Amino acid sequence: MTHRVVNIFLSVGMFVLCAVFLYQTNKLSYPSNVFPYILIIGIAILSLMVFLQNIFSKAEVIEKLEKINYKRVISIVAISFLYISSISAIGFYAVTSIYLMVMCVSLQSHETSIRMAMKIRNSFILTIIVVIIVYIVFNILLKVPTPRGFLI
Amino acid sequence: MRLGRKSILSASFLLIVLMILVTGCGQSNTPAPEKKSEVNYPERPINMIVPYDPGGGSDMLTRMLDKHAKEQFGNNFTFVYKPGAGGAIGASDIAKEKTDGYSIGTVNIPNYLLQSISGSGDFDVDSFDYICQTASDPQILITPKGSNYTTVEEFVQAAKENPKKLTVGVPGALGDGHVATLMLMEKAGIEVSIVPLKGGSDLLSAILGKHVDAGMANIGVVISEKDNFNILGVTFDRRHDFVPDVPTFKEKGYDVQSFVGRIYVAPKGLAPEVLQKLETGLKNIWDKKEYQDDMKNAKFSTDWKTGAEVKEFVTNYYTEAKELIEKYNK
Amino acid sequence: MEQNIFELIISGFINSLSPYHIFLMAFGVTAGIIVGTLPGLTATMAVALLVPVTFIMEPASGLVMLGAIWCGAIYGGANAAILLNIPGTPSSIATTMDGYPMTKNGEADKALLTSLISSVIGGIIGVIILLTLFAPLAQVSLKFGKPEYFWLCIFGLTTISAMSTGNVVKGLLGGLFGLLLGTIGLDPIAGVPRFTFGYRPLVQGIQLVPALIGFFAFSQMLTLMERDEKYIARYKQTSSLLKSLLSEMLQKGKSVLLRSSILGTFIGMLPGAGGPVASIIAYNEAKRWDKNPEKYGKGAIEGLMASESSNNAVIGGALIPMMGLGIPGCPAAAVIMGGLLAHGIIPGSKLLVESGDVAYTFITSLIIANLIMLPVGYFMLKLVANILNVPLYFVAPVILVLSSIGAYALHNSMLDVFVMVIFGTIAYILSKAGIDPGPMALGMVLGPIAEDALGVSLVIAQAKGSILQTLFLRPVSLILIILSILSAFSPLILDYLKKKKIFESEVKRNDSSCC
Repeated sequence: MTHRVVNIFLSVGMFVLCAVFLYQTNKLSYPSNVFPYILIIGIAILSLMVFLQNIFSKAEVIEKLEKINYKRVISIVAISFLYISSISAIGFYAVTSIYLMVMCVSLQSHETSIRMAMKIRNSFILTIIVVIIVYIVFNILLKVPTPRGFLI
Repeated sequence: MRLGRKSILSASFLLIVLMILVTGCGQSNTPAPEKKSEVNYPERPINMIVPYDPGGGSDMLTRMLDKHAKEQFGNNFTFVYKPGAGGAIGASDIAKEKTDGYSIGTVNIPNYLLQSISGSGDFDVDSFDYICQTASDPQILITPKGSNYTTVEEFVQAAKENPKKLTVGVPGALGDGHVATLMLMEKAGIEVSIVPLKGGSDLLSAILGKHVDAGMANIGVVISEKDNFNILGVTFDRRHDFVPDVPTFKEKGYDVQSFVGRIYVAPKGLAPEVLQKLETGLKNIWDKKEYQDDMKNAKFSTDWKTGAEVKEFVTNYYTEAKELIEKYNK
Repeated sequence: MEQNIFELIISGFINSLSPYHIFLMAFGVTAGIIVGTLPGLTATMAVALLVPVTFIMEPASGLVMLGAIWCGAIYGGANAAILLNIPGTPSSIATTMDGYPMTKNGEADKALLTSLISSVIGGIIGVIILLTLFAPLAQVSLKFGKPEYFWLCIFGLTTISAMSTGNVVKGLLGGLFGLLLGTIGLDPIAGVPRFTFGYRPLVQGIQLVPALIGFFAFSQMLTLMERDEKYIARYKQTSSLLKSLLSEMLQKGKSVLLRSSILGTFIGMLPGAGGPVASIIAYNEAKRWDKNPEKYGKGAIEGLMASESSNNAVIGGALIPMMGLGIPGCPAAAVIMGGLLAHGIIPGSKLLVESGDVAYTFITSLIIANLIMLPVGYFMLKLVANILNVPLYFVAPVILVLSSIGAYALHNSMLDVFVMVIFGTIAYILSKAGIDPGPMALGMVLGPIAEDALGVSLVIAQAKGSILQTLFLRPVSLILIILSILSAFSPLILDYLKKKKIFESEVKRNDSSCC
């Protein structure tokens, strides 16, 4: 992907956003609609600038974007979503332990010098320590509520 | 029974998956065993849902009750804060709680009613059982020092001569001060420009800085600065202890009655015995001298209403406010 | 009367120096720093958490502790901002802009220490201004009506042109996107929900703190994890840093520290503006007045000093309208005011007459608390800096868990946790398109204040019959409008002047070479 493609995507995305908000703003009355209108017009103009700049751009913006490890990013986002969606159903500490284990072990995948058993052991120790510290700091000392679920 | 164990395991796994799917991101409302004996109520701590931030007015008022909760209910309350959208989020949560009497909460008349009218809360008058009211805080119409309007008559006269020209600050859009101003407009046949500000402190600074012509403020929030503005009238059925020489609007011929009532509610459907126990318990605390002194120190004016009285008031207020808002807010 | 106030100050100092109070302050500062460092747990929350504890204390002791927590928390926010590029509290958004680059350059120690010293200096200057001038300044803060707030926000938004180094168009786009997100929820003027897309929980709006954690923490962790780096930055403890740093700060930053602290106090005393606005504006001003503005954003110690001294000076400022008028200057001050009321102490014009001893003990204790923060903070920054020696594959998951707790703790709402992850992902994608989280965060901070101010101004203008009179033709508004225009275009003008200068000097050089 080049910067040009990304920028065109960006401007189109912003146009869609403008359209969605514009639809709702039209239902508002004065003076509530003034501020949203200003913002929408501003975004639309700037997006148009980005769009035109890139459609008619010369070589300088067409350079390649640095390589993104899509698989990794998508899986981290997916695991995180799964994590927070299961907190309220299953329980904060239970899911957190699993999440920490999975993340720590899988993020070490490129560490070829460490044996798998070591990775799992280290992650396990970390998980235990973190969960205990979180419990002490948040639930006992600060009395900040942590999400609750079915199991603790 | 070997097989059974395996199937239990897989069944419970399925159950967990199902629960995740069903409850999603919301709260897990497992159906409660409703058949608990009401006789022994309360057997465990009662959750007190405060739809505002800790440290705020509702929290402080409830903490003062909580000081004596142990002797009345066997345990202190467990405080659960659910702030957001000016209390609408927490009030929705109270309405959705289990009706076993272990989840009650505090809301403010009339704000939760107005949230229901504006569409920001998915509940209405009938979503709750009413326990009691412990304190109330009427509004006062105030003008900056040096203003030409120092009495209700002068203010009404000026508003009649210059329709929509006078600006009246209120502590929030579609809040209690807003509706009180609408009531005054309706009863006095005047029109003013209502300026929705961000809370009582914001209103106070607008008045002290003379950015608005007048303000409809809650007594409790502005009373400490009462020497720095004029007080025209009070929206109560009787003269108020904090400002005994200020006339009520009723005396002036405009029957405007509006106040912020600190009330305690439970989700609709509590067993009558449980509701009665809660009301009696809170009344016993309310009657204590120590509680009354605490309230006085913090400039809250105590005003007891039973659950039935509260219900009657809110039902009437709801109808009136709804009509006014529909009339003036197009 | 003068004599009386002097006596009150002395007795206040004596009161706050009692061993019990020193202990409370040390505890408060420590707790505050911990809470402030953790992403999502704000200073307001730190104070609110401990208000119930103070109900059983003497009024003065309770206040002393709350004040210390507040100082600690505002400072603590810098730790995460510097080490991880995650503002621990919204007040430290501007701290990330130079603090994190310093960490990247291997100067984490220096950055942490700079922020500690700047915080202490800013905090003390703020309190001194509060102590000496609060009655007149409280009156000054009243001159600020809603139109002035609107222009103040516009002035704050012009910072975007200073913040976005590469591409101003994209910076503005990000800022407007943040502003648009801020409009979701309740309409401040009509009081009805809008932009909720039929999803009722959105009535409360996109909360600032979860969105900020998403913008910074989540997207930052994604960026780091994607890159296969083992550590966040190289880190080696520098020994005997204190002395050389102090002389560097004194040499380079006297004026930055003083100006930022005064700015912080001033913005702090405007109810509703608060720490985030103050630190952003102070950062912008530091950059504008500097001879080499291009070093900002790459690890300039001055940027860090500006942000951190101003946000701690806000504490003194926020207490000015509270002590003088009974109007809290920011949410944390409102919580403290609640604590005062619970003890039957009524802040406002009668405070000095009715409870002067408690008030002055509280104010003077803030100076002591700031001084205590120096050793406590020094000890703790040595501890937290070690996070850089932990491999990223351990740090990142833990940060994500802490972020989830932080987002949840604000309102006990899972929705906020989803907001964190969703906006984190959006911010990550946008950062690939060249839109940084900084301008977006700025938009979200300023948006609600600006919209409310504009709406109210328009309502008043409608009643008075003239938008021009209400919104523009007021002395303070005019000053702010001129400042905004200068601020927006000064980078361009400076650029032009500099090019011209280089050109001229080149011409000169050519001339001289000719001769």
